[in-house]
Amino acid sequence: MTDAPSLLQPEELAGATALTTRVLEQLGRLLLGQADLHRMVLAGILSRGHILLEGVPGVGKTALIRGLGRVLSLPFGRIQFTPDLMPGDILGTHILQPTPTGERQMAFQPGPIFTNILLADEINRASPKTQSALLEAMQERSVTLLGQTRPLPEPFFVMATQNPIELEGTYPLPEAQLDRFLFKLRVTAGDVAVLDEIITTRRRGEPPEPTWTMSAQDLARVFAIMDRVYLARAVSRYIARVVAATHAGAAEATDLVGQYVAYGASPRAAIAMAESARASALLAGRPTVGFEDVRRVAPAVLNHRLILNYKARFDGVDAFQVVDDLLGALDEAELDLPADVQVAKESGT
Amino acid sequence: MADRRPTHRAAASLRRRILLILSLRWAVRLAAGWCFAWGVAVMVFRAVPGMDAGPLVWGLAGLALCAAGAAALAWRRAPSRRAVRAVLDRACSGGGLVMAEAEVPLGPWAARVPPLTVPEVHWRKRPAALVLLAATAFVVFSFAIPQRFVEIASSRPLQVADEVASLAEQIQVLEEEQVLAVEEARSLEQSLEQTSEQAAGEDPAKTWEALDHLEDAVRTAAVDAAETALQQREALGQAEALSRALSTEADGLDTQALAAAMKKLADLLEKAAKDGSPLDDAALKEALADCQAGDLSAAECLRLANRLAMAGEMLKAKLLRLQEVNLIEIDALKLGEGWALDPGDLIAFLEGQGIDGLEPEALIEAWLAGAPGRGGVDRGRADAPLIQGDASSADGMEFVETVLPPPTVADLKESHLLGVTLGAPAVEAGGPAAGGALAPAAAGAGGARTHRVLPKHQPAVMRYFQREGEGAGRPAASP
Repeated sequence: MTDAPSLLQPEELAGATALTTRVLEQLGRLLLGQADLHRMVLAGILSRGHILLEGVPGVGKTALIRGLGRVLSLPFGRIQFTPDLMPGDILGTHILQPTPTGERQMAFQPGPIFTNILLADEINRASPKTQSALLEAMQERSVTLLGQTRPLPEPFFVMATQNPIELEGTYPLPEAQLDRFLFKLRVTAGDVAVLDEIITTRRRGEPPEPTWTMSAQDLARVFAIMDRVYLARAVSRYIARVVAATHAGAAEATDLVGQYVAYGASPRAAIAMAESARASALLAGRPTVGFEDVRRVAPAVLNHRLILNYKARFDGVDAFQVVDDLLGALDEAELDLPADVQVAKESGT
Repeated sequence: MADRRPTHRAAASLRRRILLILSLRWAVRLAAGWCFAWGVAVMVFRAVPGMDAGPLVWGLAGLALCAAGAAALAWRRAPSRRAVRAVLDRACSGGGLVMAEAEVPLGPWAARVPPLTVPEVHWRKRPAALVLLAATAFVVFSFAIPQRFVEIASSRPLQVADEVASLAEQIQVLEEEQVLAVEEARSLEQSLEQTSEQAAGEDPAKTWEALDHLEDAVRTAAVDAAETALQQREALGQAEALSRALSTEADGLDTQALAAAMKKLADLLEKAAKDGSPLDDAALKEALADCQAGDLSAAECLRLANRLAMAGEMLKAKLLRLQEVNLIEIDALKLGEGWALDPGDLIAFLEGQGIDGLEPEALIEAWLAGAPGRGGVDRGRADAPLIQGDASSADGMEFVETVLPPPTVADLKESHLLGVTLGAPAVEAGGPAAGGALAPAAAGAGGARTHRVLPKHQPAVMRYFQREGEGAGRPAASP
């Protein structure tokens, strides 16, 4: 509830923060050297959003999602997307079955999507028709087959991965589907120290079993706490201004936006940014959202939602640069002072 | 009851700082603009005659208005309280607690708000301060500058010194050459001096108009004088030529011719002595009387001729002086040596005429007009008698034969279309019609060639062959 009459009590927040901290610890044990990635993935989970992980093969995308499912004690389903994958292979299908009375009737056989955490591995290898089968499931969290709508289990997360190279034989995700992902996170390889630790501590690279798992009740409690993280009006306005400024021609759009952005972010991006900023504040142990939370999640929320023009490709400008430029240019407080009058951003300076 | 929470106090303090800075900023800008306008007004009031700049000291009160306006503008541009809290939250890394405090009770979290320090508000004031300093200096300067500098600057005289000097010189020359009377010259000089003094002015067109008027008056007088002088020079030249002829040939003239010559000389002297001529003296008057009486001796004629030559030179010098000061423009022909006539021997001219019935006066007039070909189109008299010489002999004269071009082209040009026939053109017997020089020639006809005379030439040819008297039908002598 955003209109909470009062802030969270410190002890309530402390319990939730302790749980999330333990989840992060367990993820840190499973996948070494990716603390920031774990934090963002957990923020996405707490925001009940879907996450698209992008990285070259072998950096641990699948292992991270598999480990997350185990730590959260949630049923985990995996679909390896291939060009010949059909929507029925994901959603399920009706089959003809004999009844005890000897008659035959159509019975629904649920697909692998009926789970809590769905790993859509290499999602961009499936055809657009199959990719579109996920649209309703991701947004409405339900599946409609033969006119009958079936709700998906709560909570429901789609954790998709895609490979930025080997683009031959792939189908880029349509914008409508990209917009349904809360975050698009880049997974990079660890440094020498991390690789050395992996080699020395893990036989054949197999991650250790989690020493602690979060129960379903704890997860529901954390979700409830997350809903009560307070978003001040100044911060919500900042989020709105950031999203509005991603459109070329907007009042506060930067030169980089005007030059390279063909289409800006949707209102769904503003909602996603507010939710994920709340999760970021919760992970930081605060009952209120600050500007730093917005700045932390903004690149992950916006980078896959900005459609850049061909000029950006030629000039080697990507969405992260545009977002960084935007965040640097916008004054969070919106003081609207003359150019020759400035307020120091830090006390005592 | 005032809110005593630290965040509230800090937010109010920061807002006051921002308001103060904005007020100062607007005050400096408005004051600078006001000072420049004030200074300009002071300069204008001091420069315009009859206006007192003293009361403009009250312009100082405008600074108070500037301060009030600055406060109003700053209040309009002041940031909202929410924005100020956002700045505080950002400055102290409050994580949203400072912002949330204005919207929801913090409860136990109030104790966890980081210590607040109001951030500094920076204003790049140097450029604005420099502008204000310059504006203030301008106001002080506008009040402090001595009045005489303001007047000099405002009443800068019109630069007409060259024109006035030129006109003064022209008037002086006209006075010295007796073109203008002394009183008239003094009057013009006074007008010129008055115009020069009043040229300090606010109305340059008036000055230029006055100068144009003076120049026109001076130039008109000079042109009139020049025309008179030129007429006198012509009369002097003729009188000199006649007096020189009489000094040497008076004895050879018959009584009638001598009397006519004396009368003509008297007329010329009378004409040349008018209107301030250099001949206006007693001796010339006596000579004039002698001429009119016909009692001028040869020696007197010679002296008279010399005096007339001197008078001509004086007139020439006068015209040259007028030309030097750009009052007149006379071509070299009128001022050249050609003015002195040399019509030749008078007696030989008179004897050579041999035409009965002509009066001696007319002959002398013709002699003075000069031999044929001397006058040009602008010299001599238009009613000078036409003197016929002996008729030319036509003996040995013949036409020079000139081959005319074939008339075919002319025929075509002169022809008119009467109609177009559909049939074949009629061909006369004797061969096809053709153009060219030999086309009209007929074989064995006794003539080498015959021309077809065009209609427009036929009357002229007929008149030629129908002449009466000697030589008719024969080729006339070529001119």
